[in-house]
Amino acid sequence: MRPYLFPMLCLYLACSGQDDIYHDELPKALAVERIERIETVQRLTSSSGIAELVFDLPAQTQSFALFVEGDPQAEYLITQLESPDGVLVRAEATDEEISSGLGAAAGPFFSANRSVGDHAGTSLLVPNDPMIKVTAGSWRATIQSTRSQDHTITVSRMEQRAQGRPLAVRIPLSIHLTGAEGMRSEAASEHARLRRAQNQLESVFSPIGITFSPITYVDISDDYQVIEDIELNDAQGLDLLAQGSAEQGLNVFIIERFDSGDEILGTVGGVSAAIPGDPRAKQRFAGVVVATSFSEDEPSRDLLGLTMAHEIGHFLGLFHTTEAAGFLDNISDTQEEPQRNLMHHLSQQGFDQLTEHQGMVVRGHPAGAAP
Amino acid sequence: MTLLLSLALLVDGHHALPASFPASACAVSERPLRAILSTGHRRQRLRAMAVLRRCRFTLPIAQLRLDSDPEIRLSAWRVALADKAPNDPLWNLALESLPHRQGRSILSWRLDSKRLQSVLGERP
Repeated sequence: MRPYLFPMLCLYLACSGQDDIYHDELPKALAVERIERIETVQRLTSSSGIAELVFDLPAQTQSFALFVEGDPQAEYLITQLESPDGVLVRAEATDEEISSGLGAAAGPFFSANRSVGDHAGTSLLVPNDPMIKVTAGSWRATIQSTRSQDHTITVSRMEQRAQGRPLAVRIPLSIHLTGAEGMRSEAASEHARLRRAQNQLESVFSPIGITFSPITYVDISDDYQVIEDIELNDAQGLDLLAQGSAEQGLNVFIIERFDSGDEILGTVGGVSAAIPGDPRAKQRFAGVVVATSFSEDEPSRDLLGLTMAHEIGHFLGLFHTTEAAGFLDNISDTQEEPQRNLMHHLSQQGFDQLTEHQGMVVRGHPAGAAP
Repeated sequence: MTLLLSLALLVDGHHALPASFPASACAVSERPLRAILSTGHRRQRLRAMAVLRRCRFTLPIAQLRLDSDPEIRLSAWRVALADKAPNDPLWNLALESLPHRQGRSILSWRLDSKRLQSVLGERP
């Protein structure tokens, strides 16, 4: 898929009458004093690989996230999402989108509110383009599964309610230390590389109104220093995520390296359990994992902090602004300085900026609390 | 289908690399990848090694086994040990040449290799 796809897609959507789902201009962010997170859990039956979710959103809902938990052996994808204003996620794809190689996932991927699938469940943040309206009323989602037999899935919906889109949020952060690079909780505040990484996190996220507080350090077993499955889907990966302690926030796991059986190691710097990740502790999608061995412990070459920030960007709902395959994200202001954006698929020193629109997306993640 | 003009760009990524690449892309990227392997940062060099390997180019393994960066040495040893039996003396040589942090991985692979051999030996 080439970069000109995005304008073509916008044209397609405009012609098909979908522009009612967009605000005319970016909603104003407000310094809200109170942010409520309302969690609702629904159990549904997936029949012939399809489950339908219907729910009502009250006024003052600024954003919401869906976390689907299903059969560990199956894959799931939210293929349709319809608001009172129109279709935000569509199953159908154009011929050009289908030719992207994404198959049945092409329609949801190129939707106004991008949706991607995952193993054993899936997740979706709405809006993941801040121009999309989140209107009170009846909403409907279709969840597709690769398992055709009837089975039960659980959908947790987390709504962020406030007087307006928040200008600033605070996210509790738990950093889980396996002992990689000698990082342990008793000396975490003096560990130079860990300090450097945290300073980098702060410098990336504070300009868009995100503070990480409180920050806690948790020691976990050194058995997790080497993680074998980069998708965190095997028993070891799931056990690691189950160590998470931040009940409503963000769990970061610092390991030494990923060893997925390839001959060459150290080629993966980090991973988010999902886009968006789950703010509840011990869930399948609850956390990001970063590897110390990916880059050197030397300030000009150290990418630990940037990799952590990038994966947190995924956790909070952001996609790559530019994929290796040339796909662009669904956010309108990320191509202004693409070579400086934190969420570019390449990571280099200086790729550390987030845009105004990206900021509004991540502040809508349910991990965020009032500052 | 990955649209890549130069595979050398991939050395600055940090997510998983594709399992294979088109032969034409490999051909035009070999020289820049080898340059990165010589002079890049650790992550760039490791990813250059991985891309070259997936393009089925040979790597200067003997030289990389003596590299100043233990992570590069570890991956070079991994390639060198890939087809070696668990009792091959090369395993001990690898252990002796690496610091504890990387040596642990060698021990772990050797154990896996022994288990695999044991399973294969039990088959009728």
